[in-house]
Amino acid sequence: MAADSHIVKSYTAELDQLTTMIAEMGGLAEAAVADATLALRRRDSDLAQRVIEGDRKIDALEAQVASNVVRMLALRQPMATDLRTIVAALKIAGDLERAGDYAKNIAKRSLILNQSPVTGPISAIANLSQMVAAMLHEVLDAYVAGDADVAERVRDRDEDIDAAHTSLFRELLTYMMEDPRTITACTHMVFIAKNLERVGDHATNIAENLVYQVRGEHLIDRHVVPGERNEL
Amino acid sequence: MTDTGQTPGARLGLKNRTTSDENVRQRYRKERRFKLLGQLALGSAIGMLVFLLVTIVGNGYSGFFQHEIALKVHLDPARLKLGDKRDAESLARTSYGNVIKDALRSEFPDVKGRTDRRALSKLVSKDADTAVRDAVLANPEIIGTTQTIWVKATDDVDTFLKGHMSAVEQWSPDVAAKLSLEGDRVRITAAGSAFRDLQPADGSSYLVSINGGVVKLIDVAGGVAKGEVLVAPRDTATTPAGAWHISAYATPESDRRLNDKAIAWIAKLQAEDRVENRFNVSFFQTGASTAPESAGIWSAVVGSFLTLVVTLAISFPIGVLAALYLEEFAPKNRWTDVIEVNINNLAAVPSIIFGLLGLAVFLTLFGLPRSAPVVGGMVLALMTLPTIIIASRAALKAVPPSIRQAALGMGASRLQTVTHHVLPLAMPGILTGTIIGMAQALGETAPLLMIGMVAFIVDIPGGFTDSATVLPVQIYLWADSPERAFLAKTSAAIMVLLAFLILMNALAVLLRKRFERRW
Amino acid sequence: MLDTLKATTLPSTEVTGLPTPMLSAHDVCVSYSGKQALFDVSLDIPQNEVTALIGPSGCGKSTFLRCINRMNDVIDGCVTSGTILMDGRNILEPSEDVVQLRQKVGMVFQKPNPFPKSIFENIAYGPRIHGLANDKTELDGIVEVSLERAGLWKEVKDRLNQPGTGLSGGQQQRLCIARAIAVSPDVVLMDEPCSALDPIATARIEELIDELREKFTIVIVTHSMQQAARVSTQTAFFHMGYVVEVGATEKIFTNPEDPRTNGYITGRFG
Repeated sequence: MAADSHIVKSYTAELDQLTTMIAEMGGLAEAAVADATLALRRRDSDLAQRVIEGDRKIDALEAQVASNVVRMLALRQPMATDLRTIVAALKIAGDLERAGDYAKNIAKRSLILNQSPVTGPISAIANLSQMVAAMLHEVLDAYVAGDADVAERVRDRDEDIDAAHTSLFRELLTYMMEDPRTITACTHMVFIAKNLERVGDHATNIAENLVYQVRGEHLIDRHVVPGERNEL
Repeated sequence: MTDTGQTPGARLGLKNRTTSDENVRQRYRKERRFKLLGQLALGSAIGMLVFLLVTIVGNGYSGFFQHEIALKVHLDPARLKLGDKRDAESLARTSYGNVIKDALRSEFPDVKGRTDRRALSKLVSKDADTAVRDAVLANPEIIGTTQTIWVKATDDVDTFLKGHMSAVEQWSPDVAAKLSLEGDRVRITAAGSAFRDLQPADGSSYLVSINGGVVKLIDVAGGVAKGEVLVAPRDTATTPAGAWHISAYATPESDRRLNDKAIAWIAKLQAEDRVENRFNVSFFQTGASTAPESAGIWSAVVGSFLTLVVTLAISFPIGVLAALYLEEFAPKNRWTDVIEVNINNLAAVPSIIFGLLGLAVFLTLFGLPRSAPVVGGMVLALMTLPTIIIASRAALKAVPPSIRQAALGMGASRLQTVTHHVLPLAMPGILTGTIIGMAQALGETAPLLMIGMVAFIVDIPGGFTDSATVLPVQIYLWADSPERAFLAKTSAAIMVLLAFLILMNALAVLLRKRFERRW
Repeated sequence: MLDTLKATTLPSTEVTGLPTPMLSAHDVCVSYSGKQALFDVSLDIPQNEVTALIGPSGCGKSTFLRCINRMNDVIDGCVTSGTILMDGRNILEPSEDVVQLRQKVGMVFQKPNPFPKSIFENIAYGPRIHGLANDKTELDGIVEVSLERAGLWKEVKDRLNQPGTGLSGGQQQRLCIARAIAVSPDVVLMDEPCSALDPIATARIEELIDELREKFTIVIVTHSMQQAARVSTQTAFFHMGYVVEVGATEKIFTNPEDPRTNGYITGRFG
């Protein structure tokens, strides 16, 4: 959208910078989610540690995006598409920061799990993680391309993730009922699964924000419909 | 220049200008030179103006003054041919010439011969008659008595006394002089170099005032001078040092309009303190006259006033209405452009053309009276119209359009907008333009010559159709007159005209200051 | 799919759909000496709302504004066609009396232009020429009410006889607004009323516009998009003599439909 330039060139440059920062954050968050799951599967404590430390960078970027947004609101008084781009950037940065936090949480839990024997449906978690990472990846591609249609399609995939999460949760319940000794490990896995599901929700939010940025319309969260949402 | 070593030129990728210091100096030099030239121009303009004013005032101030002679007039009812009548009408009608002549003759009883007597009577103006009459009318009781009455000297006497006729040198020798009669000649004997080796044959006249008489020197030999008696001295007593004096007149007698005898008479009157230079009140009361001493500017002033009244009455309403229509109502198309160009051209048309037009149209076609202020005013109105229209349009243009918009936006009609807002705001400008136009008309001569306002007008014009002349034409006429005294009158009249112009311009400035509004 | 999504957009302030617009322009065309400045402008001005006209210079917004009180009539060679309906009458009809029209449609100009007269005379002029006051008391009343409404009464009540030109720029503009509303118009047109004022004076005028909305229908031309966004409920974007987009101000400034509108309000116009 920012392809056609402003009369004030530095304005365009600032908007471009904002997009670049979001893309960078997105890349980091996406990698963090993937790496955290990888650390869990390979029982790689070093990788988990790197993920935990890497979250700081995402937080820093988020703070920078926020301050840039405030500055542009004050100095440029953005209107229409610019206004929506800037507001969406702020919200997307928040979503990505949360996604980063969840990845960090997964990494922390994998550090604990690494100290106990291998149990539980690791491959199912890896599968869920892949779905979430792919969703995040696509929504970020759509963001960079400014493509609302792709974003809308990505958003619809949230249901698959919810379904995968629900089945994973049942599986973990089964493990715990069969062998109460695995309860500690499985509880961590429940939280990991929940974290991944939350990342998926944030990816959905990003997609919704992108649609707002491009079309100026707020997509109403269809999960709000009572009873349909899986309240976990 | 700059600490960074980057001149503006270098920053723009131009060749580095190392000579910028020299450039700055050159720029300042140019500015100084320009300022100096401007001051020079202003100075020379002021110099010329001052020169003009000094010349005019120097020439003209004496025109406001007039020498008068105190005559001892015996108001003999018989010589006045009055009999027993003392009513105002008879007093006003009768001639006072005889008693004035008598007064002069009794003053100089030894004047004989017709030529000399006529010369004697020419010492006083023809106006003396009026002066005596006024005195009698003011107080008829004085008839039969002898009265000292101040009457005007003629222009020749006046000119002589003002020193315009001949260079005069006067001195009082510091030795006593002895007077002795030798037939019709006198001999004056004085010690030392009282006579300064005068050569009476060189063409100059040397008059000696001594013992109440005047002697014209014929021959000088050391301390002894022989002379002709022009005015008989009282006696031949020896005169002490300082009580007699010699006057030398450089211009030969034949080149003067006053001969030595007349000068001698004046000298005698002067010696008796009976000649005075007085402010010439009648200059502001009378009209044209062949005699400079009786000529005045009042009829020209009145003529100018009447003419300007007509001019104003015609050109102001027409000019303002035309300007209003053109500026506020007329559509802007080719026709209004043509009209505008022509109005501007009209302002540049030589004024004499308007005079010819007036002659052809007003006099020949309409048969209006010649020399009348009404026709003069109409001609000048034609001439002033373009000025007023242009000035009024400029004043109307200067009213900001926002005022018009405000009024129109309030729902005022176009006429209301103009009469309520635009015209009042433009009025100071319009009035200024009008006064400038009037001042221009006041100073105009050429067109009035064409319609006969160059006439010799003695009477003060009483109405718009009376024959009249105007100030500049009067000045033109006087400047053309041969009499020396008219030179001063001309300058005096110019001063009066200038005074009126300055007054009008001051009024214009005052109006502008008074009614100028900021918006 | 797209339609269902459209249906879920947030509800915006409904302005354009008012049942009886104060003014209703249809296919208004204006040309100056053969050069067309407005092309088929159709626009409804809702009653007791503020309508902002925005657009780049020379886009025709001022021309349209001046059509509403026929101020274009003064300009030589200006030809207007189309209709603007007000109270069921076409005010563009040549037989329509402009003096009466301008009583109903007042105007405030870009530069404060009080008459070089006293403050009282400035306000009293309109009621006087329209014969709205029967006596001095009534006139005094009109002057007071008008100044009160323009928020100027407290500032000038002790110096009504002093010249209006002696006030500050912002006060002068409020005086002009008071003058415009003194004849009780239905519509007040404002042609960039704040472009010559500082931000504080501008804020006062904007606040005033907000208050005046209760009694008058206001149409304002402005170059400041922030101002249009702040004061108006409906915005119309003009470009090259056309109305490109009309809509609720909120919609125009957050999500304009036409790319030209977006380009203009985001500062991308080349």
